[in-house]
Amino acid sequence: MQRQRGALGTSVMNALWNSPDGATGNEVREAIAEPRPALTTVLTVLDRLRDKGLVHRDKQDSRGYRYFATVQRDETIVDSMVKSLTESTDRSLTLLNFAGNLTDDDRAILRRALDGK
Amino acid sequence: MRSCVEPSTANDPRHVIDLPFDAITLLGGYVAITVLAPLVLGSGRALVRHPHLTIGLWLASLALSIGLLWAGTGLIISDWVRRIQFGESLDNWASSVAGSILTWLSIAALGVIVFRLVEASQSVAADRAAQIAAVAPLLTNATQTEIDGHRVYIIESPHAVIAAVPFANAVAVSRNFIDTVPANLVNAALEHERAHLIFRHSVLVSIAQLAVSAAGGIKASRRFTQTIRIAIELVADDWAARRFGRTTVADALEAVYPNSDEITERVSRLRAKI
Repeated sequence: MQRQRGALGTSVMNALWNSPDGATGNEVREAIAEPRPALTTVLTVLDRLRDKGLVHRDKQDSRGYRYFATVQRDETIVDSMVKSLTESTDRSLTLLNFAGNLTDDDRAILRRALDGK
Repeated sequence: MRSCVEPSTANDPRHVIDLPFDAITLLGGYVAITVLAPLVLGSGRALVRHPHLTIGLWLASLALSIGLLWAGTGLIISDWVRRIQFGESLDNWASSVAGSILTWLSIAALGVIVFRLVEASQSVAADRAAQIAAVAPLLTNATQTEIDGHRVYIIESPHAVIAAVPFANAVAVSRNFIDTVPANLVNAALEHERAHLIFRHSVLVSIAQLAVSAAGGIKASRRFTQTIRIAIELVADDWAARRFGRTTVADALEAVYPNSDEITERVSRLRAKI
């Protein structure tokens, strides 16, 4: 079964939220439900989450890095839901954002009409 | 209804090939509307000046074209069924072949349309359910207030967010938005969002989604969807402007999205008082 896009990131964050003392890459992998991704995939996701500022890591002596969540679970969930309000990738407009959901073509029509062409 | 019941005359072209010409005329009307609607109603100027009227005319065209298509194909099919049922024979083999082809084409066309509509409805419903699932918890934890009969959810978020949430018949606004944007601009933005709820714009959007999903290959469907997408924003701008003034609504857009190109044309329109 293929994991949905973004679901692995959520699983990794869940694993870290459930480990207040942090977790190694292997421990994060073990905490993810089957089908478990490869360790390299987990480490890649952890790196991406670090880039987003959601995760930080501390060097351990001989066992590589220990990873920690830098944001609370609630903050991240709220952030994700707010994103749902503001970003309508399929422009379905189930939610109607103040900025509108006009495409470049839509705006070109408006521009031409305003210019009197 | 059928021309074939009339006395046959050698000079009457309808009797060279005996077909339900009334139905074909209805289908001709459907084709004419489908071709002409984007040309007549696709004017950007009309849309900018009269967005509400443009929406109404598009909806009327859509209803008329659907009616003509169903009536035309329905007549062809029912006529053929009647002939089979009563064992009526067609005047000649050409009529028989043409009638048979026309009937099967009608059945196929209706089948495809119904199938695509059902498929599109499921897609729209799934999309709606996903968005509700994503947003509902946010509203559950928000502070509630009310403006002119509409609920307003105040979300604790560092982002500046304001959006109509049609499934909750409410407006969601972030605390950051209220704290950072001047009160009169917040009110103008809220009124814009309320307009989406008052005029049931989400229903229009769903109709447009269905139209483009069921017949995306037809230019009229694509232009209809595009017109709805633009017009609902202009209608909401105008609604808010009637209460708070065009300049205030334009200021609100610029205050909320200071570096965004997305609102440039709407701001220009509001400031130009079109």
